[in-house]
Amino acid sequence: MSDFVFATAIYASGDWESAPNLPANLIDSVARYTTIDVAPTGVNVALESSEIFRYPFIWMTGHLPVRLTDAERANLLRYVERGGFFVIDDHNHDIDGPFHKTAMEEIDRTFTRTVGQLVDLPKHHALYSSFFVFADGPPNTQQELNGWGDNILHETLKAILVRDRIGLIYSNKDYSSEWNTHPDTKRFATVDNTKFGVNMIVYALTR
Amino acid sequence: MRLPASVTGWTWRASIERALRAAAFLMLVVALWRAIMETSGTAPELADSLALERALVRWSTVVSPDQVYTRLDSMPQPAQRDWLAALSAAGTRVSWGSGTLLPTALAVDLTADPQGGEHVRVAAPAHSTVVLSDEISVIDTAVVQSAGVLFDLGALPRAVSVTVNEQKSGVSVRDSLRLHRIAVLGRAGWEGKFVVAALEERGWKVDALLRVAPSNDVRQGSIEPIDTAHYAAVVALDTSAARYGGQIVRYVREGGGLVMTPDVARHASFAMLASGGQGELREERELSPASADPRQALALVPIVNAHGETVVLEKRDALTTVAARRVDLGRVLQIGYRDVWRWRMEGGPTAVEAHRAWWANLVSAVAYARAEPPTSDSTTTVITNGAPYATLVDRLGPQSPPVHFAALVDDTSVRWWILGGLGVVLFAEWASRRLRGAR
Repeated sequence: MSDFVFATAIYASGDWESAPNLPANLIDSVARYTTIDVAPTGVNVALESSEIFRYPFIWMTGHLPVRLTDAERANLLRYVERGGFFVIDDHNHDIDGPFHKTAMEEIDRTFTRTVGQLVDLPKHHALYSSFFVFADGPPNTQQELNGWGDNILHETLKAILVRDRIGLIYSNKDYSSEWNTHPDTKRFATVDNTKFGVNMIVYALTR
Repeated sequence: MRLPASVTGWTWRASIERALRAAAFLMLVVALWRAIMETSGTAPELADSLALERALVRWSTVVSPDQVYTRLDSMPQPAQRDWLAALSAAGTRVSWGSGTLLPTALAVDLTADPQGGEHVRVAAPAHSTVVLSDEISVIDTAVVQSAGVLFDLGALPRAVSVTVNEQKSGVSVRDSLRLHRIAVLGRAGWEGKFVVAALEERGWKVDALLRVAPSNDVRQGSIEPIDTAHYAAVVALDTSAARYGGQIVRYVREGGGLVMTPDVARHASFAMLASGGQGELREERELSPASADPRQALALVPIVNAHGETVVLEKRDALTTVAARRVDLGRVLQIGYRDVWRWRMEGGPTAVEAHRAWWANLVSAVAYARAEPPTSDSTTTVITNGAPYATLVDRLGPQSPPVHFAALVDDTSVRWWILGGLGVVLFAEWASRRLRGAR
């Protein structure tokens, strides 16, 4: 059985590499809490290349406006339709910011007429209990009320569902900042804030 | 010295008249003999396919023949066949022959798949043309190459019939299969995820137990006791299924179906179920969306040293990739591929459907499914014969050589020939005597 490989999307228009420590941090958490065979390092894959289909879990983030090329859009649609799990996280945590607005447009343009619209995930969704239990839905981050961005708590995550399974998650909660730390910093925290990342990966691998 | 005519008394005309009288006498003897034979019932009654219905009525109501012989140019209706069998049981010796009936047989195997379907197997002589039809129209045709043909029907007609060289051999009525759930056992990973997805998209209800930590499993549904009352098949993806090893072995022996991967086949708990040993690993290769056969690029642990009763289902080049065998009442299917999910994600436009169908076919091949008869309020017709020739032989015995001599006592035609011939002969003898002036 092949290992789980954490993949980060390279897209043409933005700063895709804005959370360089995130992959290692989540890989460490998956290895720490589960027996999932996980590759020790992540990969970066171009969204427009067919290589993305080798990695059924992909993380995408950034601060800048998102403008997908036709090839990127086509690949993203095919990826989600086939069962891939794609996460888009607003590194600005700002619903008025350029990343959020343009990402929303791209998601709408890519999926609404074919797969469906973004929907709010309810707090009892299986994602929130796939490994650790988050009874109140998506855990808040220290970023959301840090004075930057829109300075509000975002209650839900949004998702594109394919045959009742999450194909794409959209987050305003800025997990990219929350988890963009060296793995060793977890030992100084009273609560490991990467646990929800483990939930995402376990959900992707089991649903 | 020339003798006077009165001494010899033999003129040529008188000779002819004597011959005619002899012929008339012979015909009378034959007619008498026929009458005696018919009365005594010792002569076999004959009938061909066209006259069979009428003959059956006559044999059952007018005469009680000791023996009957039917020349069958076409397959008799089941009622006619059973009527002949009843005559035989009542004491009449029934024999039959045919030069045109074809030995055919039809069998329908329902596919254990939520989307239904069936395999229709037709046994027929080589080079014969087989036409498969449902109640409305022709579904498919094929020419037999050696001993028969196999039709795969995705749709689910209520009844199918087969015609072989214009001879209709049988109609089969559809039963329904009761399908239980599928259990998928393994570790959290892409293979488990996409196997569950494929089977659910196909319509199966799936219970999954996927291990993510030593004391933590992700469960979909609930894993019931693994037995034929709960599960149609078990898909074991890796050695984490070994904790259910004893249950699975017992389940298979009692009729359950198991699909297992190379890792499972290698495990001691499942060794007795494996189709064969493990060959050398063939590493995965780059999978192109344009590839005609994506499985060529998958990692493979070929099945080697297969057990004697193992059936090879798939090969890649000369390597066995999928094999099956029976274990007591159950069936086990062993696959050699690894990371089959790559086919779905990296394959071409039809990859998702192809991957789904492939897994569904594997499961259907081993699934335990009990057939249930049509409900009492259904309007389905009665099951009729899928092997009419065999049934004919079973009921009436094998063919007999044609009864040539008995053609003399065949039905009305000979009788009228004898009567007509007798009349002509007697008239000719009388006319000859009168013309020469004799009385």
